Formats: sequence, structure tokens, C-alpha cells
Amino acid sequence: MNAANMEQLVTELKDEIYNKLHHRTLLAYTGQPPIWDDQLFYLLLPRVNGEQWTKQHQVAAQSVAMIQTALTTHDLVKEQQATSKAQQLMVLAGDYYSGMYYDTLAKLPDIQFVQKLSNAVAEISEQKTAFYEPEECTLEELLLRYETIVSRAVEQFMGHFGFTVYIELMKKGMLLSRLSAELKKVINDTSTIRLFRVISERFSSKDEAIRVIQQEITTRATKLTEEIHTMEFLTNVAKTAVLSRIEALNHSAT
Amino acid sequence: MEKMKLKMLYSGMKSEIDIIEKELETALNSSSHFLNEASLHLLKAGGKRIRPVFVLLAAKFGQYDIQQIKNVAVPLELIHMASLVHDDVIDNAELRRGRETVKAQYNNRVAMYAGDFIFAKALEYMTQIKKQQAHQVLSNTMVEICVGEIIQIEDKQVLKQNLRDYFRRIKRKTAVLISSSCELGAIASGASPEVVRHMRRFGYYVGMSFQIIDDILDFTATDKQLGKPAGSDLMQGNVTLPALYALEDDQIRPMIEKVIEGPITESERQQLLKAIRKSDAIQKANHISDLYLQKALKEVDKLPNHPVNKSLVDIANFMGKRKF
Repeated sequence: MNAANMEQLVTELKDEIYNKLHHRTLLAYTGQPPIWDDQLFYLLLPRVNGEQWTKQHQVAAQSVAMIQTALTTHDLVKEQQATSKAQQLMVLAGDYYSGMYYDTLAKLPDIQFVQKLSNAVAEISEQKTAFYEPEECTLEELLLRYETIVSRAVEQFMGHFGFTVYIELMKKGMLLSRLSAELKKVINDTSTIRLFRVISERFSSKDEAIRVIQQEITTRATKLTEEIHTMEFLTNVAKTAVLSRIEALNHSAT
Repeated sequence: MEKMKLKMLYSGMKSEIDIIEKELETALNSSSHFLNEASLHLLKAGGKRIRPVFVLLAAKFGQYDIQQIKNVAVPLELIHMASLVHDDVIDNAELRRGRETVKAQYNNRVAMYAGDFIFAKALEYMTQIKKQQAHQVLSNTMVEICVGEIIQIEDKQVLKQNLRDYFRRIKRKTAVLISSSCELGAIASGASPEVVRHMRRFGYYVGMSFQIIDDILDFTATDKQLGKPAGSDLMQGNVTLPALYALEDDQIRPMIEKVIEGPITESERQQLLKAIRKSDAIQKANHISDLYLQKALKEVDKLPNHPVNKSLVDIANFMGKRKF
């Protein structure tokens, strides 16, 4: 297993999910489902690290990405006036992907995992809503909230299959990776999530908020890189794969 | 008046329905202030609770245990509730049952998260049921409902459609969830495969009749009764059964074409409603609803003799004859 193999596994998993979520009308109006490559990467990390990986792991990993994609699709619905056909179908696309995740696990069957993922979905929805509530919280608290949103579903997967040793790494890696991806959108004015608006309100300008987040990414990436070097449970192949991802984020943040 | 009738129909199950109501409140309890507020708002708006009631009634044909069966009844109502919250975003609706919608109260995005939260809570409850068959039925239902709604959007503002298109749409949009409520109640209680089959069919026919009546009421009920302007479906481009029949009338057709083309004035709306009410479109649609209702009642005849059969017949009749 090497970095190229890892990318190949991510691509394969992504294609499997695209196939399961395919719907002619949704594709025409809402485009391909917004699957997160970084989430697939962390879902597959135990496999790359040599853990036992069966069909059940693969299907469960698909379902995690499917439900996260469903929730992400709903982040693309406009806050006001979602009246265009594309926007109306965006609402239904999220619901359809959500139904497909349940259908996938019901067929497996892994009902206990449905319960754990449902729990994660409820928590993610609560945290997303909390960004709209007039509540005073620190930057650290906001980032912690965002970490839950981007990592809770994978955390449930890792807990369910006994990959608990990977959870802390995955949570930090997912937060960094999503923050970085979202920051690029903020810079290009294409971000649709509320987090950065809430952060921006704390600073005198949007540019200042961007600088603070860039600094946050760099600091956290440096710290995580040091930690990864000491993680004995990771093989050299897995270590290299994670480190190269984080290095790429660090470069794009500066 | 209608609410009173429904209350009487449910009177034999009052204690069980109270358990479901309490459980719905518990299920929607959240750490988020907005989600709590939205949920309470939805619960207070009430509703007919048809789906959980059918779950309870169907379960009486097997080993009935309310503590077990509530794990099916609650999710069915929650799924219905969540889809309404999302539907209001799609329809840009400010009011439902005379109350502000979640999207009007906050915004579309919060409504999306509220719907996702309620869906998740529904599945959390459902996972107390360990039978794979039950999960396959429900997951298939959830996908079917979405597909039905996608078709509805595809068919919007399309006048060149036939009755089959309409039936295909309402089957997925409404009948499937009512059918599954009946089927799942029977499955969860371990009723025989025959009962499961007849309950599924009963629910399907009742659901079809129910949706047709709903589509009729959109033209015949008052704005106050509906809690939104009468004729809203057509104004949003949804061509329902009464509209399909009305299109056959040369005098009404141009009026409908105008609605589909764009916004109409209040006096044009009143004129259209008056014309449709006076035409035979309502009568024809009522006739189709009746046919489905009769089919539903025939399914009850095929069920084992049980005191529940009368309740099924009474509720089906109520749904197929309701005034709003």
C-alpha cells in the first residue's frame, strides 16, 4: 500500500457512492452529490493501516459518507427564497441521499449502526442550528462545534467497528481539512455555511477574520504533524498519507 | 366539527394516543433552543395523527404491546412532520394549518436542519425495532416519498399530463407512508403475512382517497379552513385531479393556463375557484376518491374478524368524506 493506492481507494469508494446516489433529475439540476474526499480518506485510514476490512466495513463507510453528503446538500439551500427548481430539488436531494443511507444499512442489515448514525445526525443538526442562535461563544467553542459537525459521523463509524484509536487523529484532521476547504470558499465568496459569518462578526473586517483562521490552521497543522510522528499505532504508509494531506493544507493556508 | 368527529373516532384509543403524544414531545427534546421552539410549535399545531393511529390499529392483529409499538408509531408521525417542514421550504409557504411555518419563523436553512433533526429522531426510535423487514419497508418508503416529490417538481406547471401521472405522484407522495404505517404496525406486532398484506393494501387505498380529498379541499374549502389561500396547489403549479378534470372544460381551461403561466390577481383567483366549484370536476374527483375508499373497505373484509375492523372502517370513511 502506498499513497497512490490510498487515492485509488478513495476514488473507488467515491464512485460506489455516486452510483448509489445517482438520480437522473437530481444530477441534472443539483449536480454531483457534494461528497467530501477528506472524509473518505479518514474512513479508509484504518484499512490503509492494515486493519481487517470486510464488505460490511466498506458498506458502512459508504453509508457514513452518504448521510454526511445529505446534510451537506442541505447547507446549499438558500436561507431565503429557495424557489428555483434547482433549489427545490436541492431540498429533495438531501432527503433522497438520507433515505438511501438508511436503505443501504437496512439491507446490510446493521440496525445498531443506524441508531448510532441517527444520533450523530441529530447532534450535527443541533450544532448547525446553534450557529443561528444568539449565543455568545469563543472562537475555540465555535471551532469545537464545527469539529462535531464534520467528524461525528466518522467517529461513530470508528467507535462501532473498534477503530477508536484513530478517533482523535481523525477529529483533528477533519477539522483542519474542512476549515481549510471552507476558508477557500470564504475567500472566493462561495461559502454557504454560517460558521464564517459568525466568526467574521467578531472581527473588524472579513480579511482580519480570514487571517485569524489561516493562523489557526497553521498552528493546529504544525501541532498535529508533531503528534502524528509519535503515533505508534500508525504504519509508515498511513503516517505518510496523513502527513502529506496535512502538509498540503498548511501550504494552502499560508 | 371535523376535529370533534376525529376525537370520537379515536376515543377508544385515548390512553395510547396520549402515550404517543408524550413520546413525541420527548423525542423532539433538543439541546438547541431553536429546535426546541420549532418542535413545540409543530406539536402544538396538532394534526390528525392518522399514521400513528393506523400503526396502533394494525398492531392489534398481533402481539400488542404499546411500549414496543410506540417505537413504530412515533417515527411514522415524525417522518410525516419532518417532510412537512421541508415541503414548506419547497413551497415557500409562510403558513400551515393557520400557523407560521418553521421556515417563516426562522429561515430556510434552520428549517432544513429542523427537518434533518426530526428525521434522525424518527430513525433513532425505529431502531428499537430489530426486525430487518420493518427497516426495509420504512427505508424504501422514505426513498419513495422523495422520488414522488421529485416527480411532483418535474410535473409542475405541466398541463400535458394524464390521470396516470397524477396517481403515480400521489401514491408516492402520500399513499406510501399511510400504507407503510399500516404494514409496519402489523409487522412489528408479529401479525400474519396475510394481515400484513391486507393492511398494506388498505393503507394504500385509504392514502389515495385521502390525498384526492385533500386536493379537492384545496379548491372547495375556505381560506380560513385551509389556513392558506384556497387554490394554492394550482397557483404553485401542481396540477391535481380536480384541475385535470377542470381542464376538460373549455371555459375553465384558459383560466388554469393563466394560473400556470404566472401570478394571478385576487379577483381572478376567486373567479377560478367559483368556476371549478361549479363544474363537474369536483364531483368526478370525489367519485375516484370513493372508488379507492370502497377498495380500502374491501380489504378490511379480508382481515380476521376483530373489534379493530370497525375502527378501520370508521376512520377510512372519515378520511374519505372529510370536509376539511
